[in-house]
Amino acid sequence: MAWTWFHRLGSPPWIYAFAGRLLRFLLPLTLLLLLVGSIWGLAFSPPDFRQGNSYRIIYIHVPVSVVSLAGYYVMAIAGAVSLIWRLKVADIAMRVAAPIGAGLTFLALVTGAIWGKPTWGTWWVWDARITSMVVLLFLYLGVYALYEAYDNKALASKACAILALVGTVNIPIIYKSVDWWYSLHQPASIKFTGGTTIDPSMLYPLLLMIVAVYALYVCLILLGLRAALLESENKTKWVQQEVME
Amino acid sequence: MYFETFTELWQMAGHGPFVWSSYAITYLVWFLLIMVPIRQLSRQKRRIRARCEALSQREVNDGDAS
Repeated sequence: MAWTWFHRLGSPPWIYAFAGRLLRFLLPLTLLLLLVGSIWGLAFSPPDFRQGNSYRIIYIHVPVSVVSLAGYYVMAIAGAVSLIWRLKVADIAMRVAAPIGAGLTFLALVTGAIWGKPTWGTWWVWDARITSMVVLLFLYLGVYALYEAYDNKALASKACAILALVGTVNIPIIYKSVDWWYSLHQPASIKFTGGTTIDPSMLYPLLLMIVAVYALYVCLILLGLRAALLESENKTKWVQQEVME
Repeated sequence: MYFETFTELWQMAGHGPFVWSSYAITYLVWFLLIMVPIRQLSRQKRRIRARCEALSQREVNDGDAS
């Protein structure tokens, strides 16, 4: 009885319907949160005493960076589940997570470069944090490209899952890079242990944006899952019933 | 609002181009990430529906012929 939910997660028709029901209210709520968080950060929070207004990029840069790292674990866990239990839904989730993660990592790098120009005086430096984020982008793109490269899709899924799992070693390196190496990149402003070095007037819109981008990530995974499930199950009866309704 | 006027908000004391371009690129990528699976889903639905309709039409024609 307690494991019913786990078995349901492996059922494509159930996931398809559940994702559809969840998206109906989560997607509008996410867009509202993103809008409120952006306006709050752009127009209502005070400027930084040292960086001035350029710091307002934090309200997108930090959320997309945090979620791009967390998203890698999602992809790797989906890969592990697909490898161990051969769950089709997990395999699809891993594939769907790769381009979403690549998009968010790309945004983290681009917004970081734009923020770097007025703050550091340069668009780019090959320091530990930025270089390890570039590696993360290539890992995401690698999983996506690897799947497309194989004709045998069962073999492709295995190879992608292994690559995703091996790549997890990069995530703690990204987290700790600003502590382990001398870096232009500032250390974390929000800490779970110890004092947070950011004023509440700046912290609250940032926390709102982090929650909103996490919600956006969930929406993107659900949207991708629905599209990929319909494609891979297109000859089954449930898909035909779903489409003809 | 922290800024006195919308012009101040737009210019952000010289940092406007950096801040606004970051937000514009981010929202553009988010828009694409949302729209790609939505369009993919509706394209798939159209294709499957057309296939099902063609199949049922063929069954009707086969029934008439026999």
